[in-house]
Amino acid sequence: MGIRDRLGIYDRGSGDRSNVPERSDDVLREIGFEKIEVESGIYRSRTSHPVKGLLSSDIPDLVDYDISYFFKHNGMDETIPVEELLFLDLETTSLSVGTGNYPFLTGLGFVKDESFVIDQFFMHDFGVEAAILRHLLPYFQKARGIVTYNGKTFDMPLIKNRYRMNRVQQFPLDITAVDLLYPCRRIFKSLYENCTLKTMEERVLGISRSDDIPGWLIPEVFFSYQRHGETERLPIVIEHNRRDIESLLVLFFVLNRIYTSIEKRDYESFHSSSLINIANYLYKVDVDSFLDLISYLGNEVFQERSLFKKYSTALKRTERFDEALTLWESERSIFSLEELAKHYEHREREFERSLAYCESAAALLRKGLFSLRGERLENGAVEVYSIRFQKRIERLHRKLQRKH
Amino acid sequence: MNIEQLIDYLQSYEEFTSNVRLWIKHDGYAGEFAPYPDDIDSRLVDRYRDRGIDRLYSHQRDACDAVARKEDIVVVTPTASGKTLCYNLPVLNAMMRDPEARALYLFPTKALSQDQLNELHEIITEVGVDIKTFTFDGDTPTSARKAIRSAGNIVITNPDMLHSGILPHHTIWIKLFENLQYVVIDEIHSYRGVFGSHFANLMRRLLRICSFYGSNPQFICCSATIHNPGEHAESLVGKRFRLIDKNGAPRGEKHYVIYNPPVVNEELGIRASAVKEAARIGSLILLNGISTIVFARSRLRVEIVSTYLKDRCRGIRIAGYRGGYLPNERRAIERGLRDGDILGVVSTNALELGIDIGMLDTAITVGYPGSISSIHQQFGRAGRRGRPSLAIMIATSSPLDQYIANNPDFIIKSNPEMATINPDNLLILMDHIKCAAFEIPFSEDERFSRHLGTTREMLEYLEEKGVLKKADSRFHWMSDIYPANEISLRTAAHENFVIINSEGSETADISSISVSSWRRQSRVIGEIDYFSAPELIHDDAVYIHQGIQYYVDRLDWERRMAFCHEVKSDYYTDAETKTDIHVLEKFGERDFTIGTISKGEVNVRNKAVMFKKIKFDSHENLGWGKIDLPEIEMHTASVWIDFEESNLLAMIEKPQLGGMLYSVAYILRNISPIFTLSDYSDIHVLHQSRSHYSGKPAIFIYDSVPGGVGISERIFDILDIISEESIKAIVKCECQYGCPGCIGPLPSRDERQKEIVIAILREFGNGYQG
Repeated sequence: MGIRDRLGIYDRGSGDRSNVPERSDDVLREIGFEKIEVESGIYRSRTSHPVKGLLSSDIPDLVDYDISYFFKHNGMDETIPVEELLFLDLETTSLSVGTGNYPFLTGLGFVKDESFVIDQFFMHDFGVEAAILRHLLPYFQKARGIVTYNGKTFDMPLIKNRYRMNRVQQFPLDITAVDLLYPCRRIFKSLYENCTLKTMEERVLGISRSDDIPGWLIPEVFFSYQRHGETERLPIVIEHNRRDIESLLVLFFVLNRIYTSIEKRDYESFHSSSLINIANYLYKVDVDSFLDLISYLGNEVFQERSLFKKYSTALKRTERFDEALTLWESERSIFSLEELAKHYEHREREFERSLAYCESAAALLRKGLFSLRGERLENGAVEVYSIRFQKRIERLHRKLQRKH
Repeated sequence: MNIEQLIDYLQSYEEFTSNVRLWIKHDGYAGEFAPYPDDIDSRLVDRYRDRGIDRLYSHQRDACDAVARKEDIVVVTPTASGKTLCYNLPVLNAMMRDPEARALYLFPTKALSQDQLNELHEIITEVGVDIKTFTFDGDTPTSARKAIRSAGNIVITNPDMLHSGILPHHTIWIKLFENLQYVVIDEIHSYRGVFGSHFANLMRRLLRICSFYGSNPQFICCSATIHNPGEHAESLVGKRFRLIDKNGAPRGEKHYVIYNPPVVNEELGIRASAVKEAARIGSLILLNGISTIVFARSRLRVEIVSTYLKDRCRGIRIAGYRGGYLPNERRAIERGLRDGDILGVVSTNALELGIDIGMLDTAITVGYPGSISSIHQQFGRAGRRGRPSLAIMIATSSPLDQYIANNPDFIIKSNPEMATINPDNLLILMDHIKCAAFEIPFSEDERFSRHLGTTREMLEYLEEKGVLKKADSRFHWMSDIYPANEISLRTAAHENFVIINSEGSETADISSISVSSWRRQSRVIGEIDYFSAPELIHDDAVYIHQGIQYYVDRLDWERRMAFCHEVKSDYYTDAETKTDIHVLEKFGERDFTIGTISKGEVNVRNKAVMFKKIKFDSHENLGWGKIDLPEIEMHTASVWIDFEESNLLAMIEKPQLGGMLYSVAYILRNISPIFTLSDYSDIHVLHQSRSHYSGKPAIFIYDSVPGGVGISERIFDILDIISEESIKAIVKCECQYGCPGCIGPLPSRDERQKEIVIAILREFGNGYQG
């Protein structure tokens, strides 16, 4: 009995014989691909549309070639002109990152003469991968930044893998990666069910795709092409990829517009939840804008405990103590009482007054409460606060004695 | 008493010596030393000198010299003979010369990796050089991983992590693979059987990736004493190795004792419990302030022995140590043992490996641990520098243990076992060819398995299945599966069943509770392999575990769990299974005087059909029940013996034929593991009065792992030795008609049974034409 027969016995079940796919030019040409390098057999599809035409009419004046705010708000010192950005999306044979995952469709978008050009390269045969990668090098080398969605963890490591696996040198490893997932998360987190590109399209861009294919089915389409020469579903995948890249561009402009609005302190068009998200991250990058946004949002936002603390810290940092005092007095929680006690002890040196705040806090702690609104403290926290206030009270007493 | 006095005392204490089957004394050895080699960086030598290591043991020097000659080496010396220095010295030396150099250290467990990390950190800090050393395993935080990949000079990991976390991502480990100079594999004796076969394939994958990046690392392996360390290293790594086995480390006088608990029930041949004897002897040692380690085979036994010992030795610090304890709990115990804060420890074989616990005065092994090399490892834990030490094995009543108690010379004098692996087991090979194809496409003429043809056929097979795609004369991975995640190195194919004592559980739906949760509650009383489960733990079975009877309330086949409660029953259950065995292919055969011995591949089909309730003592049949479980089918390797019926009938009457085959099979099954470095459950036997294959009376011995891992093949080679030893076991057994300790429990009390079995076994060695 041969090895294959024995394997057949062990490995009963799944699997089927594959057919050699028909790789005729015709099939690929029908779906918009042309052979651009005869010798190596690279197939490319190119589409081009005016940038303005791509964008939904709901959002007027979206195309703003001043994109400096996007870069500023994403921690990049330098603005890369939109013409020097490369928008990248890969369709791959698996959803994991690992050396056995092949990008079989590489889509690249770039702006040229106010048009958005999308070049897609289809690996119709595993053998042409290296040639494709070599062909793609000038795209990457010319670009100053690569825009992706979740590319930092997926597309970028994967493409670097492929260059290494195929020993094709000169890929610019240190190229700036602009991953739109992160700004989207910062702004839209907890506003929508998740932050996938699909959700962003539907909720932020107002685009819905009716005839789309779910991502997890995509490898199977390629396998079926490889095994049986099935080409029926290929156009859907290619279209899927193209639209992903278009969405990248639109999303990029939408984000830039959001940042521009923030800078111009024009908050009207935002959803309040999204403003809270924005406030949370502005706190880290721009205190003045943060304070401005909070004053726009008003006191209701302090339902969000962390924002209350951030606001309080920001006021202190900018030395706006009167406003800080009003804030703390408006909500006499353990947190506020401690801030008040600190303020009167160290800044005003009014020890009796500070002591009074400590006593109020101690009274709350005895009930296990964080504030008079009835929020309870966790067991451990009661102890920690009690010790802290106890120490402060002792110190204040000593200071008072010395004063007298 | 000190250790010297204890040894004297035991030697003259009759109640003890009357049960001693063997007591031998090995004289001390002054050791052999050599200076540090000249090419080792003086900063490194100075630090080791500061630690009191003025010169090397001869084997350490030999290792350094061989590594300097660019040889791949395997070092085989006993416990605590300074093995780590054999690799740390050359590796650190190389790193000090070339800061770009990389080394990969492989240990079978995370605990050992941690030990090694601490040791390396200490010495590196003392030397004051920047050699970045990290462990990389499941516990490594994501934030640290990037730095380890790009900057780690020494990466310490385990085979499982290499398999699923490193090799499939080799492109981001480019620094490691481009500059890999050394691969250190410690404890290679633990890579045997299925695990070893996986490991060998893992090394094939590693080397394939190294050659992709143009590196050609040197291998430094270490092993506990096994019979074939050089050969084993060679089959694990696929390279030629220099064997370094001349131990230069000094040692004190050693006493080895084999102890067989006294018979307490003459008629049934029942002996005093080994566990209780261990507690008795252990407490005598501990109460005299002498340190000891007790090895027990199962986690449960560890708990029982340590409870007994704690009971008897109040005020003395005694710890249990086994899998399932938390890492810092274990670290604390290890530290306590080194510092002497803990006087006694009861452990599973977890402490057999090179975890640093210092040395203890005495070691007690409860029950033969399954291999000679294991027992050497366990005995090796006893012996402080320049002091005498005592190691005692206490036999249980199992046939294996009784064999050893009756042939004690065997354990001391005979060679330790061969480690067997079969890297070309088709199933294992296929697993790794998939992983390897995922890592780097296969070229058409690439050899992965031993034979080029096998690799080729397998690639073509996988292409037919659509898993690989051939293009441009290379085979590419074409599946969205990440193959390493589907393949576990530590098991082949089937999971064990866990047996859970669910008595008094509050939750109504006990089957919804996870196994790990049961384990946390210590409700898991044991495990049973997939193929034995239908016979032993079917619904309504009485399952006996450690002498306690459990009634199986329900077997959850899908989830591999059996729920039971403790009972006091006057009967046990005996399942009847229909086992069918068909020979698929014969690979070899040889004749002997009354038949033929063959090896090959078989198809085994097993179905438990019913069970009988049998009364203890009288063996009266109290009733029966049906078993409704799926049939189990397996293809595996087997050795089988076909008898000429006429020859057998010259010795016995026809009705006795079945019983006689049963007895021969029973003793062979029990004795074979000793000679194949395998566990009792690694093989199965079956006898047929009329074989489907030959039409003759036959006995099959087959690997219990699908595809086989080479055990039955080894049995084929040494069946004459196994039958010789089986005869010895039968002769020395004190029973009259046969008992579980020799040819199995038989209902008929035929005085000739033992004689006939011996006569048949004797024939196996005759007429050898192999």
